[in-house]
Amino acid sequence: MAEKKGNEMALLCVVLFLITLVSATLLGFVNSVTAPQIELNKEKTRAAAMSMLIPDSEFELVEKEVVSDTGAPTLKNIYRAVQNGETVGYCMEALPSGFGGELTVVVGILADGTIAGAQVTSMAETPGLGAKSQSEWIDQYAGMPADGSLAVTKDGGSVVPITGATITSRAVTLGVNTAASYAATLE
Amino acid sequence: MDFMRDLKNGVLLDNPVFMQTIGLCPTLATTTSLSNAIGMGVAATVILIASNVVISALRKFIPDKVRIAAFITVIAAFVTIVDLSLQAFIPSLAASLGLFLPLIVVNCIILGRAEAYASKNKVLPSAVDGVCMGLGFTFALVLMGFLRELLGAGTIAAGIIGTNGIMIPGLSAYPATVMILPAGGFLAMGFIFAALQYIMSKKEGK
Amino acid sequence: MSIAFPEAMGLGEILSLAIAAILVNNYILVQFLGCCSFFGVSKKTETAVGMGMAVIFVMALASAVSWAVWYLILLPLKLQYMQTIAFILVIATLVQFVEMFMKKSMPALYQALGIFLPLITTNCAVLGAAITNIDNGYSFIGSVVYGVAAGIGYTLAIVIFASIRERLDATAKCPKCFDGFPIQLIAAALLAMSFMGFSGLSLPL
Repeated sequence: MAEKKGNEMALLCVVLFLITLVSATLLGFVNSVTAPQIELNKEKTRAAAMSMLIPDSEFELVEKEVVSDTGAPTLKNIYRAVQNGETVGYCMEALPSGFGGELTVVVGILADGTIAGAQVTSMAETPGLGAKSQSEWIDQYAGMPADGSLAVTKDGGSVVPITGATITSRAVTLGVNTAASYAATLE
Repeated sequence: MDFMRDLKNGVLLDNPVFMQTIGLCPTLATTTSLSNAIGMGVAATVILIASNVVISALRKFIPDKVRIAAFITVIAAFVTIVDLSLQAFIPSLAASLGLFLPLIVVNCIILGRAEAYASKNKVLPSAVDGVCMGLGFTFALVLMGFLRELLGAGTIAAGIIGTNGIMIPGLSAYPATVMILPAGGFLAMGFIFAALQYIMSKKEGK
Repeated sequence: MSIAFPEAMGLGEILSLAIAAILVNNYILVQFLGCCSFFGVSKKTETAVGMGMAVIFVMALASAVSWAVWYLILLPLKLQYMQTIAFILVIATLVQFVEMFMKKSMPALYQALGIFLPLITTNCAVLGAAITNIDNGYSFIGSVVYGVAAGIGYTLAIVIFASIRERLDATAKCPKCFDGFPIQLIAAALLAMSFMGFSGLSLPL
């Protein structure tokens, strides 16, 4: 009886192990096919956003990731925008927390101390409210001062928030500010 | 085998969402627009068919005691495959489904069909069952997505027909935004269920 | 090989994370995670409380274990794509262990919560919390706190809803076609609307 039980246990383990092994192998294969494509997609979105913010320039990678001290969102993929050998500005991704988790905001900062603009490239905000951060709403950042002082009107600033989505608007503004403050240290 | 009868059962008489009231989470969460609803429906259907086929093929091989663990592993593998493929080839859809893509793994419909049907039937009927139940689930999602997008954003099929879809004059300028908020999900589903009960009581009365 | 752990979180940050998870981003009413059990076990307030407690317990454990699995196993081995499969198996095993452990050493608690435990494996709230912890890069303590807070939010919603349902079933008069499930959904919608009020809370996140 005891032996039979042992055999059964062994069988259970073998079967489960086989299923897991096959699944894992399959996943490894799928991952090897899709991973480069996923990375490429991200790069494409970022490149498209950057060339929209600071057009006609070449981008050189300055820093892959900057983990900031408490409170401020992390910055990623910091690029220097170069036109005819001269630095005209910086582009980077800021990752502030919105209503539905992290947003990715690509921010462009010009060398003259103004903001070239911003683009939200990924987010999980409420459709119809926070998701409007991907509409023309974001264009208002263009031309604002890049000194890290921006705030939404509710907090006494000049950024007009999306109606009903103050949290998202604050998050985007915080992302733009963090990027601007960091760009100022780069000169 | 009567495919049409199975289809009718899956989509209408035995609809997983409307009749069996399972799989409510994704039905409520991912139906803020028609395009999301279709994306979720198709993703879940593909996974359901694949997991039904594999589990049915392995049904004699899997010991009864560990069947749930085995089912979950198979389902999780397919979910990850679909998740990675969407991220690679339709990134916008993957982004809008977000967390609910990996969560298909705990969708009660898929585990439910594995347990109730695929583990007891041959491969071909299990595949058919997957198609029918998947379409039933998609039908429920599409109905919810269509209604919520129409009332909550004032558009039809935004993201499918152009970026803005068909704008309904008047409604798209002043939409009932609550319908695409979480509360609207419960509300829309409540009214759909009420309409169903009304129709059924009428049918019985005849 | 060094492992990149998420940075430690301040007390204030963790506190606002917890409040946000309980009220602002309530699992059931705002994020729609765990809806099946929300309607399934909310018939009586007592069972709702029992289920809620079980969920808080499992979520805290699952958050801790899945965090460790991610940062100590999957990430160093570059197996990020195994996330879903690893987490769901971790949760399923965990629930099984908790059930066995409770049965042996805490029979009274097992009596009260035992029947809910198997239901939790397929409760998307638990897997949802595990994945959210990783997606948002919470620290270990942050993850456990998030798990507990999300569980408290779940319990809050399901207990309120259960007490509404008890009234609804006993006394409410509504059009015949709304009887039963439809009117419960409408009630849930009203509850969700009242929770929308919390989204105005400004938390120093």
